[in-house]
Amino acid sequence: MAKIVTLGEIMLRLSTPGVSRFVQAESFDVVYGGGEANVAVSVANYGHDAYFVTKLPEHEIGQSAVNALRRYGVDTSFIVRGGERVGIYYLETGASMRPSKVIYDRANSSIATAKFDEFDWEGIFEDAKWFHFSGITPALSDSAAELTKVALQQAKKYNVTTSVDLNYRKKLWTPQKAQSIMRPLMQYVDVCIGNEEDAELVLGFKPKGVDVSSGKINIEGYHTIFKEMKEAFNFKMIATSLRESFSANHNGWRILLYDGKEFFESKRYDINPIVDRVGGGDSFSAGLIHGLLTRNNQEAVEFAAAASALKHTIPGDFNQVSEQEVDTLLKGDASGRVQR
Amino acid sequence: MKHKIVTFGEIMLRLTPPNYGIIEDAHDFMATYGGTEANVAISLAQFGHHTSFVSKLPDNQLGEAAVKFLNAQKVDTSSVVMQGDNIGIYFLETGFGIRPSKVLYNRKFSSMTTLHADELKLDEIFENATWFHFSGITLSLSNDVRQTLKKLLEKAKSKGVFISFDCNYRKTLWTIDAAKKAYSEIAQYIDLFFATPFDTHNFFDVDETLQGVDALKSLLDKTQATYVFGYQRSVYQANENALKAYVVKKDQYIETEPIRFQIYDRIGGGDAFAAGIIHSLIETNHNDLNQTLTFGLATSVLKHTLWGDSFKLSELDVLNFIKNQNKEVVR
Repeated sequence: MAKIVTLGEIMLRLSTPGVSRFVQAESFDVVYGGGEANVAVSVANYGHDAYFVTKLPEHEIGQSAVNALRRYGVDTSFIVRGGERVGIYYLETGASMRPSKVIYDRANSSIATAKFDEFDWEGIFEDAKWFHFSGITPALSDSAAELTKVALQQAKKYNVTTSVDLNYRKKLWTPQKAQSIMRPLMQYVDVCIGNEEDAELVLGFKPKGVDVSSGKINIEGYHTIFKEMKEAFNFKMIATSLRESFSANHNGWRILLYDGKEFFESKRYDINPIVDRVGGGDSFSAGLIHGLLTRNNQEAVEFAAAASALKHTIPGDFNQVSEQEVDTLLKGDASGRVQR
Repeated sequence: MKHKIVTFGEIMLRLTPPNYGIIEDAHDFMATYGGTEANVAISLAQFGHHTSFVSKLPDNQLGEAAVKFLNAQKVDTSSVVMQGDNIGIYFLETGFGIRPSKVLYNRKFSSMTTLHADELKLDEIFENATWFHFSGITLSLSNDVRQTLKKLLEKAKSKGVFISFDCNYRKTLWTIDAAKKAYSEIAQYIDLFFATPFDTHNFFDVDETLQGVDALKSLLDKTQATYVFGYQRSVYQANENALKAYVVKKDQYIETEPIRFQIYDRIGGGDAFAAGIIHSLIETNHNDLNQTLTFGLATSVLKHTLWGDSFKLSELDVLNFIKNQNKEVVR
């Protein structure tokens, strides 16, 4: 198994019990999560040596975030400690026609104020096979954008394969700002994960003469877009999840991958009911990384699709499934029958 | 006679691990709302006064939840400004036996820290009001808040409102030097200080050779204030303390016998003391300091037996407790 490094922010997630609204809450359920941390936990569950790199305060909430990662086997030895704040996000889980709501309180967190020279890059990337980050990390602050750039340059210095999940967050930055930061980073990226909307907002990429936003998923349209993206940014691979949203609790789900020559499309999963979709995209990135490191491309997209479909059934940010459990679903057993 | 009382400060989301647990083990936090001046407002509302809380909360569902909490306690929230992004948070680990309680703040960038005086209707706030209360914690929040407070103090003074100030220094929020500067700028407005001899030395340049009562008297000499109230805490264990209360007025000094008691939740004990003193001064028309001291101390002791930040019993509960205590005031 491989050494896989992810960089980003892990936050305290405070969610109302069940599907209560914020104003009704007499207590909050506590978990810790964040895009790249979720990817680290997920690949650790598949048996990899997962390293999560971030900065967290010395205090008890910072320690609790470290403990949450350690619990699932993520190596936390390169996490820098200091600063004052842990990012927080509040979650009110929706039901049926009522959407979920998120309130962020993450400005000025320790990782948002961290400087790149606080990290031991040699230790982080020595013998590493893969580095993953998302568009959320450089969105946190100018210093976090600089930190991301240095991490990518260091990863390339150590011949590490790199992936990005474009993941546009409108509460963190504008498309203009996102493009000015993200476009120059793409020269260091091997595998780009994101849909056409992310590509437009984060990379300023507009497909020529193709419209895939009409509601119905247009696979041919994606083929054209991916070919154009490959040409524009010189990615080795491009992947996206194709989500059909029927309601807050019912989605269709499949994965599309382009390796520069061929397209690979996974089986389609009908996810109904969804238990917790937060972290669904991260579980797809993790499944794809594991798939590409251990299987052929078609098997990789099948693994990524099945792994992330399973995530939608698990509460919390982390995908708590093993490789064996994903393979069981892959072999066609989607019955949900008790396994003894 | 019931009065309109105004308090000014921040109300925060309080997150506590259940069952005396520590933060690192918590899978959920019990949620309530609190903050020193909000706690005082809530207690005074239980005593029947019209209490108005002046503050700023984010314009989101968490801010709304805090307002609904205050509404439920009969506090007037019409002067709470709803704007900004973040609600202040404090995490509280409840101590047990020899293990002390721990407070961890996350409030540095809260909505309240951005409050400007022009967001408030100063005349409406003090219309018919007789009392204004705030604490040193509010002074620590930001420069904007200090400027706003200055405007509130000027308006209160011009309307003849009685002003009380709880020195309440929090070392995790600012330095003694910064606090000293801020405290000295508001000292001239204060009619009643809640302070310890330690506070007089640290913040008001009282000579350190003056100890105890002499230090407190020196604070009165240096300012226009009428009273210094306070209490002394003896800690036996995290959940067993004793309190005794004192007051200085001109040449008069009174202190109570200590009351020793078991603690269920000690947060807000000082705020309950302030509320008890304010209520009793109003009720007795400032004419029975023994009764006032006894009432303030009893309110504080009872608060330690209640979960959450604020005192939520009635005046009758306090009077019954005093009757059953049977402790004479010592002069």
